[in-house]
Amino acid sequence: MPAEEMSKLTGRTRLIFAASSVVFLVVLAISPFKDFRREWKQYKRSYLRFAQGRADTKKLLADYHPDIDQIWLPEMNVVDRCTTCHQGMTQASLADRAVPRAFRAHPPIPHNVRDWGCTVCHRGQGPATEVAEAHESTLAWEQPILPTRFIQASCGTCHYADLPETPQLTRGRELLAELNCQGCHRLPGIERSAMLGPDLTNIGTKVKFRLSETELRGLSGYLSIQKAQAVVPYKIDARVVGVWSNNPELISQGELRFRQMFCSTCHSLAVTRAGEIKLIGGDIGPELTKVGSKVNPDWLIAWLRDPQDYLSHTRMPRYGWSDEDLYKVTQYITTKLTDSDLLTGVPQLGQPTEQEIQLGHRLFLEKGCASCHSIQGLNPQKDFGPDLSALGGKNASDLEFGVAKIPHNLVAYIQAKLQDPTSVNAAARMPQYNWNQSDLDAITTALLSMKGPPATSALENLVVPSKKAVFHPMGAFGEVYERYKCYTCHKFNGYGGDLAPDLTYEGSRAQRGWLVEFLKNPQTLRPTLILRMPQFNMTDKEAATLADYMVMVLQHPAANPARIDAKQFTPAMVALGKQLYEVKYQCQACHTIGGTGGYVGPNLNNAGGWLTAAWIEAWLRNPHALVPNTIEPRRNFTEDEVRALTAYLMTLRQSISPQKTASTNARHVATQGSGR
Amino acid sequence: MAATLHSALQNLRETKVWKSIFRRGPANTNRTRSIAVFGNLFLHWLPVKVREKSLRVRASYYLGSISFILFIVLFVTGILLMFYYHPAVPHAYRDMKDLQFVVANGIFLRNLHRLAAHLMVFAVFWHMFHVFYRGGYKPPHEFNWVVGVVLLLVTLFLSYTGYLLPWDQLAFWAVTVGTNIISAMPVVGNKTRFLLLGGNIVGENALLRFYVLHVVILPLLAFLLIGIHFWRVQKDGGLTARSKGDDGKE
Amino acid sequence: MEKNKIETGFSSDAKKEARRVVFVTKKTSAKVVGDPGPQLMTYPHLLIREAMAFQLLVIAMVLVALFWDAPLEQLANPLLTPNPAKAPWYFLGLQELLHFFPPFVAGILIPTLVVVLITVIILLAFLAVFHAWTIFAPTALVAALLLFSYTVREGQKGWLNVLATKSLSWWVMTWFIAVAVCLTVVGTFFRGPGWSWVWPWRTHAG
Repeated sequence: MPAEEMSKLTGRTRLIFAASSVVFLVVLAISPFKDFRREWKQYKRSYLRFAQGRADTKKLLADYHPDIDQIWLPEMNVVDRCTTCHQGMTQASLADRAVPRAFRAHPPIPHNVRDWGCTVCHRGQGPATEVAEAHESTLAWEQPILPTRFIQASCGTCHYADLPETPQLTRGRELLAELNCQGCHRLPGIERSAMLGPDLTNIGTKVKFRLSETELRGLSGYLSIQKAQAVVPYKIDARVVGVWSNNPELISQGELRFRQMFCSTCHSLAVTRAGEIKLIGGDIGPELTKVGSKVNPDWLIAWLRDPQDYLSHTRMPRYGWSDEDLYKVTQYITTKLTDSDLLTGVPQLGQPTEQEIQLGHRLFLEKGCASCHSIQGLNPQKDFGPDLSALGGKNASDLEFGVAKIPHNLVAYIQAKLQDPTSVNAAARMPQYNWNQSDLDAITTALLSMKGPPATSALENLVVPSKKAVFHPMGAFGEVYERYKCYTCHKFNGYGGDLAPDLTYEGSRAQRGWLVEFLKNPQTLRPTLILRMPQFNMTDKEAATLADYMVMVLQHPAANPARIDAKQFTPAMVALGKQLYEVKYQCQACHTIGGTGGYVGPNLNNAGGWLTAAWIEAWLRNPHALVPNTIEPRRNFTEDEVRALTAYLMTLRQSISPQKTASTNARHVATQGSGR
Repeated sequence: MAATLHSALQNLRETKVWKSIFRRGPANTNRTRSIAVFGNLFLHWLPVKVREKSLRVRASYYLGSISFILFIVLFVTGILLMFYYHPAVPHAYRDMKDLQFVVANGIFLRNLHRLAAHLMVFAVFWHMFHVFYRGGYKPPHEFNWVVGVVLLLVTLFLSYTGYLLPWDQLAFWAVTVGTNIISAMPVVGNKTRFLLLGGNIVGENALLRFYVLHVVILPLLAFLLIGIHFWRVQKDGGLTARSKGDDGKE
Repeated sequence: MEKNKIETGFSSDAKKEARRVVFVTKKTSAKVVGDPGPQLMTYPHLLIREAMAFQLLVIAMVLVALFWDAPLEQLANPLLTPNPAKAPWYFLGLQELLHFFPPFVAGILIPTLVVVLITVIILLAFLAVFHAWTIFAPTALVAALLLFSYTVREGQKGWLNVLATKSLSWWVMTWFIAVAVCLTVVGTFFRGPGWSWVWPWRTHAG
């Protein structure tokens, strides 16, 4: 081969090399071009165009720059680049719906976006600058944007205390407590409810277990032999029985007493109205429509006399029944509150066999019954259900979806599990609840809020603790307080029920004499309400104990008796007060005195016999200092006006007469419980 | 136009600077071309001449070259990636996110590096099999075969140490599974694993050790061995020749 | 060129290069290896080919890298073990072996032997691999080919003849590749939770 040829490249080789060189350079230029077309850069440019097309361009572009925006909160481990695209977040003028969604302003919230970032509440991937990566669940990030209907869950992550702005979250937490979810699951911040016990009436309507015939026999057999504490039958005075047993009025008199005792404050009865079955009454205790078919009369009498003897943590108060009342009411319950159809079709079970009892015992533990229903000598299994304290922060890959045909994300998992526990895990032991959609969403929200303990001490500082106040005073008051279970309906220092007025500052508000009178005879004040304070038949001593304690202890610092002296009131002041009330401030627009006036505020007919002068005075100065959420407006009364109005109101007295006050009181309690 | 360019180039070649760098005229004769090859640091381990048959694609599929090219691509992209990477927990993972979301062309660099790494493992394997079937391990190439086997192990180890660096689940568990095998070694198994991981678990120490291995020790070793490998290819007489009628029968 | 087999195409003072002319083994008689053919200058022939190889390879890789993102999963979490946890693909063959053999055999002995084997190309005794079918199947295939090719008479035309003339080391290497490919493919595509057998087209729901 000649030397020349050896070193000469063919034309084809040169051509291929030239072509590949060109392609090489072109291909290397693609990536920078692609980089220029990145999503966030397009959003930047499009916001620029958008802002330039509006009148307030200057304001909208005040802090515009073409780079990535980020909110960096190192102590919270937050790097949020959301505002790179969502540039109108803090521009109030972009709030309307015509603005493209990406640029729309955030609705006003108590927090500042600059201080907290976006992902703290909305989840999603903060560092991402691509739409899909930031919002959706990806291989590298399984915390997608939280659907807005569960956004209250994010409030609950830090605010362990209930917030007025988050009703859904609060409802969810209530449901968790009410259904005693923490009986099986670890749920931080949810108090173990007192509604655990042998009461299965409600659970039967709410819960469905998949039990076979044999399992049913076993369980009922096992439960039927639980007689650790024999009921001691109470012998009702023979004379009472003699008088009443043949009286045709017995049952109707029993019903009357049942109503007069206001059992319906806590217990409901099913009533058929216009073809629809409705429950009338409270839901603190179980529904009693068919209770006569369930309980045996000896037990009923014993229970009514002292419920706390049978079940120490019951919320039912101990009434001072007379034998006569006891007889009439138990006769009424066992005769009228029954359902003859209830037990038809139910097989008669004989004495349970040893085998059935064994099975029942095993099932009782295995199905988790013992977590809610205590049986003496039987300890509930610890951590029966999974720990849910960090459920809200779980990734989809941490969860078992089984064969369920649902989207693989946390929200779908929680909802599927709640609706049908076996859908995601065939071996689930959790009972199936019947939820309506709003309860389902509420409980999902509450569960989503549980993201476990804060990861760092910096985050711990953000937690707003829930009030764990428990109000169980000692001494003579404590005894009476426990006996009548005041806290079932009333709140004391944030502890207790919501049914009746908050009594935290009752000692400042009401006069001792009025308190004693009311405790002994509560229904005379508000007789037409369905839910109201029952007739406890308190003794004088008990009423005095309660009233003394309240006057001594349940005091509000703002109501200062030293500041006002009723003895200094002069008729002139009273006259001035009356004039102020009727003419200058037109108080009768809301309040009633002597049958005339509005129904928004409480009736003041007996203000002088009921309220303390100190309370009225403090109230007139600033009602919100006493009851923060009262609807009473704060007026800027002068010092003299306050005194004059107080003097006038203290003259209003009325001997207790139910007929006149009935309707007005009914109205105000129904509309505005706290501001009496 | 072409003439002007040509004369401009000619003038450039006449300059003192050019001559001080290249010390030769245009490579337009076989002699100057030979000087161009063995006078250049980067080309001197190539032979001056190659058999025409060896240049054919089917002779080698350029697998050795491809492996080396991939190594160079890895070297370049790797150095660029090092600008954005901290071998620490959890910065390493955050840096992956930043490469994806913030750094200009960051994800492209990472893609390229990863793709080249996998291809290199593949190319090196294929290269070895191909050389074997062509009888490339036979005398006088035995030593170079052994060097090649060591290079294969270095390649695997390079790829494996790089696998941990993103510090994601994929990386963590792949390395955990891999290093658990080491403890099965009798007597020294656990010690070796401890040495490699800098601890008993795959943690921050392991990340640092893998990083140092990945960016310093193994690339240096690879460069050294590649140098030897290339050198020996030339010194052992180029690619194994196969003449017509030679179908592998020896 | 016809005159001189080792004509370099250069002036006569060119360095003569070492080259194998004859290869003698026990079985064969001395035989002149065929003409190695003409030679070309490295500059520019080899260099331009290397440059083209470089460009084409980079073009291909860039095109793939532009549109195929490297996977990134969640932050490493020692408490959350994926099932199955897989090693990089080139170690999945080993992981497949681990499924059948104790860690020492699969993780240490066999890889070491393989490295030694491909280093010195020596034959090793067969291991008891009958229940490890991913090894056994390709082994059996290669062995069948080996036996089959030996049973046919030499001199036959076609691929059987080609097979019959392969050396033992050729067979060992082929066996190794067959087993390695089989193990790697099975480990990559056909293994699911608990290292159980899964079909790659039957992905998990969602």
